[in-house]
Parts: sequence; C-alpha cells; structure tokens
Amino acid sequence: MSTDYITIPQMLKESAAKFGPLAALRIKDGSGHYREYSYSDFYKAVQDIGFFLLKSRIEKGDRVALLSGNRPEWSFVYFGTVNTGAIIVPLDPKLETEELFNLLENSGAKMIFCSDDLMPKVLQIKDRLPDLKELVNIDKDMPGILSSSYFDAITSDQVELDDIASIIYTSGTTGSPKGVMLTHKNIMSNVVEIGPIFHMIGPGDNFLSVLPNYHAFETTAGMFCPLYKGASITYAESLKSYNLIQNMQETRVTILCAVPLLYKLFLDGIKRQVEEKGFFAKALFACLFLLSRFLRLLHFNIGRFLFGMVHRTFGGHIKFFVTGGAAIDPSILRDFDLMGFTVLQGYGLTETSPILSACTIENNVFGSVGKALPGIDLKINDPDSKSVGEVMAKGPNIMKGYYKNPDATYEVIKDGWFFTGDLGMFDKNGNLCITGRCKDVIVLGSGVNVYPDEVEFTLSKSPFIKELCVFGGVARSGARSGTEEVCAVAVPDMEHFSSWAQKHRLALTDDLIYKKTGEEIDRLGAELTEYKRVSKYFISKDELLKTATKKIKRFLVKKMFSS
Amino acid sequence: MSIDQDIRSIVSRVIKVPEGEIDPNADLFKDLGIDSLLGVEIFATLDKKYGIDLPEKKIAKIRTLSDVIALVKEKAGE
Repeated sequence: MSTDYITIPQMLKESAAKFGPLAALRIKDGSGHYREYSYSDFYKAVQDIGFFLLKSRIEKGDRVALLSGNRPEWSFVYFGTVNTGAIIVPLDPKLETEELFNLLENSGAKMIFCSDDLMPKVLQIKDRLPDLKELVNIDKDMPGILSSSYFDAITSDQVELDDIASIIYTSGTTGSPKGVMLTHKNIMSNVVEIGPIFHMIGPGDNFLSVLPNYHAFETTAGMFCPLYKGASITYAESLKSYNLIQNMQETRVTILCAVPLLYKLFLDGIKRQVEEKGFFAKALFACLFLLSRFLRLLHFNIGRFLFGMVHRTFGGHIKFFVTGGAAIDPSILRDFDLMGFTVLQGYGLTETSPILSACTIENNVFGSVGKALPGIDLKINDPDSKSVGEVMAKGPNIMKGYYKNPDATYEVIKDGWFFTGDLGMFDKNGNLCITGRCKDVIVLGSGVNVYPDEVEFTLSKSPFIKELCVFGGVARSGARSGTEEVCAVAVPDMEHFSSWAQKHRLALTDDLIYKKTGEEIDRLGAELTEYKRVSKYFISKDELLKTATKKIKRFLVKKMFSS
Repeated sequence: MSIDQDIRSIVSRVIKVPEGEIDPNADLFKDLGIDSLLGVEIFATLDKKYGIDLPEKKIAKIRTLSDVIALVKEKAGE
C-alpha cells in the first residue's frame, strides 16, 4: 500500500508531463473521423476551465454541477473544477426536472455546466435555485472558454488531500438527499491501489467508455485509471452493439469496464448470430465450447485461438473486461472464459470511491469479488453459522460523509468502519463472496441503484393507494432474467375507490382496482427517472406486515410476493 | 413475412420472450421488462436489418411494439 497519495491536480500535472503528446481522449465526430486530445491538449483545456472558474469567482469549496452525456468536455469540466479546489457535482442526465431541482438545490451549486440538449430541463428550474450564479452551455460557450490563451497559471497548491473533490448523489431525488462527499485522498487512493487489476496497463492501452461518466465505477476505473497510467479513453459513439464493436475495431480498444447487463447482451448477441447462421454453425460453436471446456480441465487455455472470430469481432486487442456495479451471473463469466476472454469482477459502492475488492488476472475466482485492495480492511460483522454477515470496510477510500446529512452518515460509518449493507463471507483463500443485501437498495443489472423509499414517496401521493411497499424482485424470464427489477405491492384505499367508482358509475371489481392502481403507478411514476419506475406490481387487500413502530416489514413483504 | 411480423420476431429474439406473448399494445418497459439498454439493443438490431439509424433518444418515447413498428416504417420511408 502506498501512503504517499497525491491530489487530483498533482496527478493530472504529472500525467501531462509524462505522457504529453500521447492521446488521452478520443471521440468520433459527425463526419466519421476520430477527434483526439493529447495529454497536453487535455491539460490545457483543464487549465482554461480553471481560469474561467476563477474569473467567474468560483472559489475553493464552491459546488459546480455537471450535466451532460459522456464526451471529452465532461472530463475537461470535471478536472477543471477539481483542479481549482472547487467541488464537482456530476449529475445523471436522465433525471426528471424535479429530481434535478432537488439535487441542485441541496448541492447549492453556484455554476452549472450543461450540454445543449439538457438545457431545457435546467432552464425550467434555474430561477428557483438561489445559489446559482452562472449557467454554462457546454456546446455553445465551451469553444470560447477553451480558446483562452491563459495557460499554466492555475496553481493547485491550495488543494489538499482531505479537501472534498466531488459530491455524487446516490439517492434523495425526492426525500432527504444523500450526496456522497469524496475527497482527493478517497479517489486517488483508489486509483493508486487499483494496481493489482490494472498493473499491466500503460501507454498504448485504450479504454472504451460506455458507462455514464457520473457513475463512480466509470469515474474511477474508466476515467481516472487510464489517465493515471498514460492510456487513452475512447468515448463510445452510442450504446448500440454495432457501434461499440465498430469503436473497438477502429480504435484498438484493449479494456472495457461495463455492467453485467452489457456482457449478458454481448453473449446473447454472439449466440443469436451463431443461431442465425444455421444448424452447422450452431453445432460447430457447441463443439468448440465443449472442446474448450475439456481443455480447461487439462489446464490448457486456447479459447482465444478456438474463438478467434469472436476476438476479431471485438477488435482483436482486448486484454480483459472489467465488470462491476451489480452482481454478474457466474455462467456469463464462464462462457467468456471458455471463449478466451478474461472478465474481472470488482465490488464496491459510491461511498467507497468505489472499489473495495476485485478479482485479478492471477486470482480470478468466479462467484467471488476477489480480495480487498491494498490498504483496505474488510470484515464481516456479526457472522452467522455459515460465516455470513454484513460486509464492513475501512480504508483511505471511505467517503467523508453524506453532504449536509450527518444522520445518514452516522448510520453507515461507525468507529471508522463503513457498513456496506451487503451480506457476504470470505472463502478459504480470503476472497470475498457477496451473498445478498441487508439494505433495501435495488441494484439493477445496468448497475444503477434504486432506493425504495424514493419510489414509495412519489407513488404514495395517489389517493387510491393506502399502503405501498417497493422492493427488488428477480426477473425470472426474458433477457433480464436473473437481474433485479423494481416491484411494488399496493394496498388499495377502498374508501376512495368506492366513492370514485360511485361517482363514475362503475362496478368496483378486482380487475378495475388492479387496472386503476396500475394507472396511478404510471401517472406518478412519470415524475421519476425511467429506470426507477415500477416494472411489476401486485395488489394486496390485506394490510402489509408492520413493525411495532408501524414501519412496513419490507423484507417479509418481498419474501411473500417474490414467491 | 410482413414488416410487422419481422419486427415482432426481432424484438422477441432480443428480449427472449416468445412472439405469441408480445401484445403489440403492451408496454414494452413495464409489461415485457425491457430497460433502456435492451431498448438500444433492439434499435441496433433493427438498424442493421433495415439499414436505418433509429435515434437512441427516441427510446424514451417508445412504449409499445406498435410504436416501434411505426418508427421503423417512418425511418425506412425517409
């Protein structure tokens, strides 16, 4: 473990000095050509943004919000802000307007950098944000900001390791916001100690950026790590599989960090293509799998040779894939492994900057999330007879706390230990295996978290719903089978239903109650970001089980309705 | 095979739900469990099949299979 961590501005300065002419960022423009920014170009852009912030009287500790899809300018603004000692607040572009308002208001952002396509959302709420001083349109204003001739005048000496670099909101778009405060030390310790996974990465490597940049996994693993190591980042043209494949082939991508659902879609796509080629192709593919499986038993790994065509489809230069954000089905890891691809699984939370443990090329144990990164202590709280308990973590990557929310911070950090809310155990070799969750958060296959409280808060506004319980159920069929989806159990308010039915001269049947409840869930769900909306709902005519303090026993309700 | 049947067959294969179970007016996201990433994959498959470019931004506006069919027809007719 290294204890001589550096701040983010120091890292960037060192990378610019070491890797100056090498490509740092790359994106395909409208004409089909890749626009590249070298490390020197990147550093100049970061300095220009810093100069602009200082001119606009943004000071150390001020919050600057960032609302945009993945693109080089996202990184310019992120580092430009953090470099001056201000705090970056990256936001999810998919947030609905009111959700966005709650987070912007809570953060007290003085400036917002927003892409042109998302401007209408911000314009609707900007007058209700008293702290907001300036709104910058990334598409229209950025060229002027970046043409500044002012260079290398921003000194970052005033930034210290324990200063907050970023606030990332994990929840609270409706209730009490939870903005995770990450310091320079939190982030940089994770970037440095991620070495066991990325030790063979360096100049010449190319990361394909597919996850949203505001996601902590992408920020640290997909943005900081390549920039620290002198590798480049190619922004995916879109999430369409043929675009991803094209980007991989055209730019010689070597690393991809993504969520389980994407790997599942890749695998499904490969299998679908084989099926479409007919019986013989299907039989040959099955034989190759069997042969690869047999050879693996003899400790021969020639999957890369047997499945050369699949490797060439992915560009032929992939060193490994990284998966995180949600649990991956071990069978996906096995299938990729048989085809000669390495998929490394990591584990962590936004609150832990985010990586706590990871599998490595030398220690890739399917079904586990590997060993703790150097400098991080992991232990199991109050293990049961099977050695399973809540995973706790301590280390330089643990967040400073939730912004303006000491109560929520106190709930999860005790005596320096962070309570992850995940259940797990260690195998005999010290690898962590996650077995479940003791917190209510729903983790979708796409790696995003949905907090039941937020969904309940919004849907409970319906006069037709007396009680509501939202939980994560596992999809049993379809392309998302095995991953979590948002489910709800509603207890109808029969008094309201009766008077409503009477008024509209309707017969109050079970079908009508089910249908109307669904309509209400849809109507109010529209206030939530699309991925937070309920996928499946049930009606309960009985009151939901509650504790002595009248809190719904979500765990039991989930158990009853999942089966 | 008509374009409607063709699209239904493509959607069925991507989301792994039998064709017969896909009601053209069912909510793809709520009733069939599609999420935005699967929506992108459906668009990508349709792009390749029909040589069109369905914009990802339209996914948020699509609710049913009928919407998808209408969009493909609109794009293919351009």
